[in-house]
Amino acid sequence: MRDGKSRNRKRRVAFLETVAVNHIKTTSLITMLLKLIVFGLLTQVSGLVAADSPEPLAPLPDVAMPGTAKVKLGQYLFFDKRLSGDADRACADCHIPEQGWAFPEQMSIGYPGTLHYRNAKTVMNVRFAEYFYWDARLDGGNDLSTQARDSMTDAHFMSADGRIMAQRLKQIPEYVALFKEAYNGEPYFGLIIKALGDFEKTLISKNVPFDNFLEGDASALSSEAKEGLALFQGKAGCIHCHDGMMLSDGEVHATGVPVNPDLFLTERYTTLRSQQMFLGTPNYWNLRQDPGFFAVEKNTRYFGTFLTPSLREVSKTAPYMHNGILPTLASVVDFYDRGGEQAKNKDPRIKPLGLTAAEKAALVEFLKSLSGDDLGIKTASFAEEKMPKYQLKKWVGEGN
Amino acid sequence: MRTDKERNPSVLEKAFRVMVTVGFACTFAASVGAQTAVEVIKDGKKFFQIDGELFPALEALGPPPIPRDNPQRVDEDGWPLKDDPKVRLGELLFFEPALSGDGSVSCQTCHVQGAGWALNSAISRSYPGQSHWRNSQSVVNAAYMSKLFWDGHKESLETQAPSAAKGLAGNGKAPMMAARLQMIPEYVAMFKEAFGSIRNPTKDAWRAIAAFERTLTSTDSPVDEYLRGDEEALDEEQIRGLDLFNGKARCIMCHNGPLASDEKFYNLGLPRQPLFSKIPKNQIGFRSQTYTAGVPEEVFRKVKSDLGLYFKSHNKEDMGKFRTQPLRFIEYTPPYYHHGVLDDLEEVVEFYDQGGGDDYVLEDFGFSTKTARLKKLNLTDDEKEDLIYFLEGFTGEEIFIEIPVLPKPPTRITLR
Repeated sequence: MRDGKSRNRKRRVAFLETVAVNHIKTTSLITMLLKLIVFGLLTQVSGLVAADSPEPLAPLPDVAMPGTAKVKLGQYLFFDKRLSGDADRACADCHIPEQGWAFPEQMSIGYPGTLHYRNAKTVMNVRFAEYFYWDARLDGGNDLSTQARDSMTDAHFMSADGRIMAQRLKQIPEYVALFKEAYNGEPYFGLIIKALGDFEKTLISKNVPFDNFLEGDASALSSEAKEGLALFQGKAGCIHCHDGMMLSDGEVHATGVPVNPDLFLTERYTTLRSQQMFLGTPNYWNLRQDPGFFAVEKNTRYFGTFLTPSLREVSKTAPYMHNGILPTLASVVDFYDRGGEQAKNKDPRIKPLGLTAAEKAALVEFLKSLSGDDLGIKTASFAEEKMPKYQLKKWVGEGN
Repeated sequence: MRTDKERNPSVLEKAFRVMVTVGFACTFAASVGAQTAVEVIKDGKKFFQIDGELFPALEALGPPPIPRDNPQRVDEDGWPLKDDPKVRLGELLFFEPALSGDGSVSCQTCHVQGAGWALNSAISRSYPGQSHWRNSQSVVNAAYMSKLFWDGHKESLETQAPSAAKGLAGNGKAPMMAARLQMIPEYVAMFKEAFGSIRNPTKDAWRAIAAFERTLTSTDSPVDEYLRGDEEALDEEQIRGLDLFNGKARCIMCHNGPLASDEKFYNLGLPRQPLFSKIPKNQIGFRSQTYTAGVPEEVFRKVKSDLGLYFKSHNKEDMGKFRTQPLRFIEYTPPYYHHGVLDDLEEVVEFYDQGGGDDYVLEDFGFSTKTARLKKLNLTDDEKEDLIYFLEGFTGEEIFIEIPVLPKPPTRITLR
């Protein structure tokens, strides 16, 4: 997104350029040059033109999973509070399995002594994400380790020093054995974040009604949901941004989501100030709203824009939007039906839709069909008393 | 300017000089009751001679030095005043838990005023869930030191404070700590008064804390009074103890000058700290710090006891060496040494009487870095008592301040 184009668009551009090459072989030099110039201009413009040709919706693919030992290790670590500075905050504290691997409040909690100012996103299907975080500041592309490192070490997430975490795990025999089995190595920070990534790769929606429908099972969607699908791709226009396999274009937009007044609760505002100062956001001193992608690319047209979230598992991850201000799917549909709310740089495609009550209900039914089965992972299985325990290695006579 | 004749004195002249020096020494000894330490005056300054080397005598402490880039108000004799905007701010920040990761620990957490502004535990605590790996030192008189921390790797109070707040002690991150301070109107006002703005709160916070720490000085001990000329300030036993300090007990070789520390580094052959083999948090702290030090792998795999200066210099000769501790205020700050391994002054004196202990560097790495200055002293029981009594005389009045009421953040932020 650094050059304003998503990977989908890059693929389209590459295809168009192949067409250009074929033309070159069959035309005279001058015509070829003219065509090249015109074509070159068109591909630059195609970013705007292609905006109205969204990627078709598609089911999740079958993918290879990492080995059992890696997944088992990563799963333990995901729930282990000892991976945070004060040993009191695990990934799973903000990404709760029973809450769609997200957090049930508008804005997430943070590291003890801090609160966040954004809604916690789901960890489901992250291996397919193009970018991470609401402000899209990290590349996805299967690089889950970098995101894990960022979350583990940041002051308002887990405030961990990876070198200390490695030494903690070295005092836990079960972990030492798992690291050896999974990676043939000792616990150290690089492997810790790798293991977390390997576990997260297994968090994929299973038995999704909509995917079953796409793969040929016409009975997988109710007729109301099918109506919703038609609206999604037609009158309601959702697909313009919520397209492709992940139902997200990997772009940032402003839709006029109102400021959540809780942003000004001191502990949340402190995190906003701290993070925006760290990211080098201009005028971080006077922010009256979440600047979103502006923190990444300091162009005012990006102020208050956020990454289109994937809609998979959306029925499980209420409340909605970057600041969690919309409580239910129905309220989200209402929001778009009235054309979003105020924003200077609101995406021009966000307009009042004129949906009837029945149409709105149908859309909600369709959105619900994007969630799969519960994966059967329970927080209670990883309660503190069930986690592997410290057992100090022999001090004298054994290497470190 | 000396003439040629004076530079090459005749035998008679040399003999005369020796007699005068000895006579002077004897007179001095007679006045204090059989001084055995060998005192030498050179260039107008007093030294004590041991093993052919000269060591600067103990001196009373004057006002602490104040760096030019962090000035503060002082009285006409140069002593820092409490009535100073930086000091008032620094006093609050010393107690302020916002200057940590989870907002729960402050400087005062490990530098407790009721424990001599240190901590009465062998290995210091740190933030919740973790432990430190060394003994907490007193803040009192830290203003006089140019080598802070046991391995001396920080040279000023202004750089010691962030190292603790951000490191193994506090786990703080600068932007978060800065943002917390910026949310509190009283701090905004105090930062503006002391530094002109609150745009740089973390850097200025350390400067304020340093200014406050410069008001924590202890220079009123009986030994200080004696060194200033008050011969009644010490008892006979303590005067004998001072004589042992300067002579038979050899303390002055390292604990010399006004600070009672040469701020150099020595391995004394201290015993190992058993806590590291028993308590997970302590061992984890220790291992993580040796890992962080970036030593060669062969050393990391073997190190079982603190190698001190080596972790900073990466020089094998520095293994096991720690900075000489200043001796004022020590009555309030047991246990002693970088890993708190000796519990009281009796154990300390006994340790030196034995000539220090076995060198764990020799045991772990096959070569010794123990200082040659430590030898068996053969002190009698009376002498040991005198020495301990003298050391106790080096401690002045306890320093207590009223615990400040910290300003609180508002529940919500209102932007103008």
